Amino acid sequence: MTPLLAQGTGMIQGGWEFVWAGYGLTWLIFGGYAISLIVRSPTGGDLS
Amino acid sequence: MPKWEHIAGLLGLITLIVGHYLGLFWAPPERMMGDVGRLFYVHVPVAMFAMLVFCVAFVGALGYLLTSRMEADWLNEAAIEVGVVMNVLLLMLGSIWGKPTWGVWWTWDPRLTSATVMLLTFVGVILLRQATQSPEKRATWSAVATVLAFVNVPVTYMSVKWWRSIHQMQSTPETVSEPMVFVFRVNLLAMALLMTWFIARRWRIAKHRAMAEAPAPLPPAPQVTS
Repeated sequence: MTPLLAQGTGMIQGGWEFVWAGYGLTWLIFGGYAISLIVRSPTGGDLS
Repeated sequence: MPKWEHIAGLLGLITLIVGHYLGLFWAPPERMMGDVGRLFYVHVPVAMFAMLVFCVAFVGALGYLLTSRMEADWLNEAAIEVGVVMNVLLLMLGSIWGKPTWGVWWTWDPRLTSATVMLLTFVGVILLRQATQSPEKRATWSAVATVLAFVNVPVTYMSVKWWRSIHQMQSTPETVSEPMVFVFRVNLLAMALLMTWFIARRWRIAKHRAMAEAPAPLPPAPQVTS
């Protein structure tokens, strides 16, 4: 087998659990930080 | 709170929902990474905006050093906190992406190491702020520390070009298919709107705290009659 053929040419199969974990974590951290900003704001929970 | 902040936050939320939906269900699988490549639409915008937000902190620091205006210090304070949140998310997302593609959760690669140093230095600036009582000293020291910490931001960006790295180099629209570029840009827009909202909201908190800790005005001097 030549070195070129020895390189991988396939595609990673599956891995949706990592995708969901990444997207879920993004929502968790953005949501948590947004709530902390609202709670700490001078008007408290009042967004106005 | 100004109306534009509500609009930016709401638009950011809607755009993020749309962007993530497109990234999860509409974008094609990446040619080699398959569905795992969908992490591109969260990891890369977070990485770009972590560094951009630290640029905002740098602008705030320079602004304070040049003008001594507290508004610039509040911007510095706000952007550093938002940047640290983004940096933490960036490292976690990178770790989640690294496991199925590199086979490891973590490796001391130049990009990963410089991004970790970036986080630690800006956490250091936050700790420095908390340890300083005087608002003027806090603003000055924080600005100087931010300028020093910022030196590592371009290093982090360039690390994949300067050193041998397991991390891939920056993609360009020429190296990515059109549907992927479109989804990526939707997520970039979402991130821009949300970062605007985060920084504006955090700036307001910094301003309120500064006003609260300002000394009360002195009582009027007694009238002296001769």
